[in-house]
Amino acid sequence: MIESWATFWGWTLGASLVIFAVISVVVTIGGFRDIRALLAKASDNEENGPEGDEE
Amino acid sequence: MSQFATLDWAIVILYLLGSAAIGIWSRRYVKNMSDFVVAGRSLKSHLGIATMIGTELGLVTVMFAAQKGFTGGFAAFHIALSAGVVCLVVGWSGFIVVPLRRMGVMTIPEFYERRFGRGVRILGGLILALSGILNMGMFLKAGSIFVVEVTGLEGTTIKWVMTALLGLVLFYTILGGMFSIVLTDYVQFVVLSFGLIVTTLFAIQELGWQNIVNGVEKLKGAGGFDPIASEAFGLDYVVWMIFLGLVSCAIWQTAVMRACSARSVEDVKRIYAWSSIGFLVRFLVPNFLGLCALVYFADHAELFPEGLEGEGGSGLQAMPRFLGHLLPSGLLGLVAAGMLAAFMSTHDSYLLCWSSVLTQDVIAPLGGDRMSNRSRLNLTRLLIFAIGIFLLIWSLWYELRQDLWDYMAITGAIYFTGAFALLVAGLYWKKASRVGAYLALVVGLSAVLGLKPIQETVQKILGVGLEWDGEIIGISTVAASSLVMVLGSLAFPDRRGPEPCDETAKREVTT
Repeated sequence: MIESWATFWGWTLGASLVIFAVISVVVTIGGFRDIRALLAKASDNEENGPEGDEE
Repeated sequence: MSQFATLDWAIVILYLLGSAAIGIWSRRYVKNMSDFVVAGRSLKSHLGIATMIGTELGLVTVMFAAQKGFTGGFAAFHIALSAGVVCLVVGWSGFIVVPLRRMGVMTIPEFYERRFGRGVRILGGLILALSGILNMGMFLKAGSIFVVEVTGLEGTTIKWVMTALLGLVLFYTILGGMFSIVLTDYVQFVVLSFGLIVTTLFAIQELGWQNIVNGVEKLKGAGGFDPIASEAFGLDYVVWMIFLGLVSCAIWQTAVMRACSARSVEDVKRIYAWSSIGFLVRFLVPNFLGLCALVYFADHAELFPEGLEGEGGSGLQAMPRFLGHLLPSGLLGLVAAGMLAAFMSTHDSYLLCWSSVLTQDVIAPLGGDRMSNRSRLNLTRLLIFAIGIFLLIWSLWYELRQDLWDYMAITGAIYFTGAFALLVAGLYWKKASRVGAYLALVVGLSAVLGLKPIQETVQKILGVGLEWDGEIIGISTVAASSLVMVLGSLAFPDRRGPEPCDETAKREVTT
């Protein structure tokens, strides 16, 4: 019984780590692109004037 | 003795200075309240995932989860599994978060107003903010235990270090709002993700997988693997953890803010589906490091004289002390920077969250919504500072004599037990009424009975000796809040239907 649980938790940990590592790489690269897009949009808003009250 | 050396200090200090620089730089992009609170609702999925995991993978979570691994062994993994699976289901189904995003609300109390009226928003906002601020109350304490164990700092020095760290977070959050948060969260996500993965592999390599399994079996028996059979958990605890999994991703305001900040509904679903692995890992890896500490200190009892039972909260010290002994200099500095990153990323989001709730949902509605955008922005910044001062006094300089995990769960439950009833009924049941909402919020407050000092006071007044476990109080309060929501709505239906602000919201509320 303990052996089955240990195997199950071992696979859970291993699979989670592998998937998390892949996601981390993808999100690191994709997130960098998103930041550039976010700041470009914010700069554009800055040039065209803000929508709300100016700070 | 910890192996924390000059190189490690240099890595940590460099990282902290970088965070401050980002805060100053991102100030230029904040023009209005929407920019400050939800970054102009411009988050795309990758950045949304990074910032969501960055926020929810906090140092306090790492500490509590490691403590659970130390006291419960592999059986503690069920907490991680519940959180991950529930978040995935929310991502696939869009349960709660998609209708909220479609409505375009910034906070959950804003939804309360659209669905139930202004009074519910103010009461709900007040309960949410009080619950959230109290919930943060122990973050600095957990952070200071980590820093003491990893670096070896002692006495008053640690208080000043933690004060400086909090000051840094206040500094960049007040300046840059959500813009600085998403940028710093991104960096923190990168550092912490890779730091945790490397640390886990390092621990397995050093201790050996089979030795870890054998060690847990020897110390905990079958209960160290089976959560139902475990003395530390049991069936009621597992049920409570599944519910907390739903709360932490779909009801807890800081997570919901990410849904509200997303660019589109599709991005919301994508962020939640992919973040599910983050919600799983944020418990799983610290659980594992905690049980590694258990096995390690079982063989090196002289390094952990507090005892392996983890009584009196000593289990909190095990994981950071284990890392201080296990990791070589350099890697230890990176992991410490990652953990301090986690500490800061949780603080910044929570500070922004509770201060904006107080501004948008309590103070501004009380004043008839006549506050200008600029006044709201300044008030939110002032509240961030005030909450920071409160946390400093409450968490670091004040001695709390109770279990940290119970404290966290119960202070959170003061809000989310009522919020669960309001959100589910408000979004998916046309007959949900204002009276039902008020009743559910008030009944949700009874979760405070899970706090030991409150229990002791009630026992003295009633003259009875009762022992109430936090999970029993929590599950009972959820059931009671939901029940009064239904009964109150049926007995006192609204005379008029809800008045959503736009057609999209109307469709969401009535379908």
